[in-house]
Amino acid sequence: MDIDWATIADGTGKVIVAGLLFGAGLPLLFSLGIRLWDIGSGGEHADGTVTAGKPAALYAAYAVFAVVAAAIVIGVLYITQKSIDHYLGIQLF
Amino acid sequence: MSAELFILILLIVTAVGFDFTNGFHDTGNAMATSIATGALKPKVAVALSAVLNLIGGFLSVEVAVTVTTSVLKIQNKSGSLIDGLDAEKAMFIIFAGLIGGILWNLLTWLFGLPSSSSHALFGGLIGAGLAAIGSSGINWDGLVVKVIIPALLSPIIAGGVAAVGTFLVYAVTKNVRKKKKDHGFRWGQVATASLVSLAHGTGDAQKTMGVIALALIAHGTLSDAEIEQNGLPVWIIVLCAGAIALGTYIGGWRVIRTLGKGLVEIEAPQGMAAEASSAAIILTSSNLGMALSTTHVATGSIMGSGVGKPGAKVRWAVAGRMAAGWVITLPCAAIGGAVTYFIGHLVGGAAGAVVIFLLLVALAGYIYHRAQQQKVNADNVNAEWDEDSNSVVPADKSTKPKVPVA
Repeated sequence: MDIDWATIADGTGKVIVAGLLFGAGLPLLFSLGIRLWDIGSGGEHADGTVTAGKPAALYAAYAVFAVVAAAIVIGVLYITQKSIDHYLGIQLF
Repeated sequence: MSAELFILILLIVTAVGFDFTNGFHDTGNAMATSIATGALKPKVAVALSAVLNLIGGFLSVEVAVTVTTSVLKIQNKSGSLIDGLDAEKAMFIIFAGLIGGILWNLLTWLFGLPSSSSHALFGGLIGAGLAAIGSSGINWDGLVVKVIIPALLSPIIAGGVAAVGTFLVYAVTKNVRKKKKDHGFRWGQVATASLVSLAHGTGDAQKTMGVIALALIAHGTLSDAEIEQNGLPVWIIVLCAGAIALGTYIGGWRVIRTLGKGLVEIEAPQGMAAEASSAAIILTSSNLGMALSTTHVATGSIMGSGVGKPGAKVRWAVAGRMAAGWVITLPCAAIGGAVTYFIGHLVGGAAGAVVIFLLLVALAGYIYHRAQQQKVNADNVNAEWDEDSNSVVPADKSTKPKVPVA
């Protein structure tokens, strides 16, 4: 058997880092956006109190959502760069 | 028509059939959580997933011939067949391997087990290779490095990432109103599930393309050099992308149900965290030199989302049965592939190919017939999970013993 354990460990480490960064980091960012969106939109709460909307929080929420969306778009473009190059001849990265 | 061409055509039909089962077996990996939480209507979910699988299929331009050679040693360095292996024998190995893979996919679907289609294919090929050439025909190192180690690692990595993600999501949104939470996270769920579908199309359609390409190489109508120069013939890409999309649209409702309802009861934030973990890992792993099976990653993620949510419980009995299914996938598909090879080889030639093809059709028909008797479809996919039997088939209320009136 000729198995390169170092390469496997290296690959595994990279997958874990990328997984945590994109697989847990982006959901975290997205939840922050949801929280800001909830604070920003005001209205009636579970305890019956009614608050006014907070535009600043709402805009911050939209900004966070935009960052998440951009990260996904860039990610997909990065993954499909070879196909884009193949079909359209555009080299993105 | 020569016998070899006839075998090749039957083989390609079978490969497309495998691709189709690959599609419907794996719909749940992407869409089970969105269907379970009601983020998408069942039919809409499978249609969306199908379209994205189709697009994904066309996005795969990478040469995928290595899929077969990662477990079989039937090509030498220059790309032609190894000594002592003629075209007919090589095609029979691939043919029998595909049949072993399809039968295992159908059987696990009947029981609602989300097993890996890649493992079923690898298992079938290994079995057929062992039967035809013996131990020297198997790329054992490749089997360990590209199949077994990733299979052991992926549920753990994916489960861990999803658990961390779920925990963070719930911690951050603890005070968010439920209505806002559900609404927001459903959008997140649809987006992440779409990514998983796209990733599935790029990765899995490619496997069948690789198998067909290898069959053409074995037959002598295509060479490694030609693929290197011009890419895969377009008709292969169209066939494979189409078959996997159609399979996805048919929807493997039984597997969807196990993943969405059986393993854990899923809420929208969990669903999003699970699919985000799956998407991130499936999309990056192949670029980082460790290709993981979509099914293992998706299942690990869904389980992780159950571990990470405070107060949620994972049905370990279902998880255990699934894990057992994973362990036996390779050997069972291998037995299917080996037996099929023996039968085909015994009869030999075009007649042998017809015999094993008809055998496949008959067995597939029988399994389909069994499934039809206890249907799981878009209407009952979200029915309450039966805690007693843990069966994928929803308990039929009318057959339950009625409580006698005192």
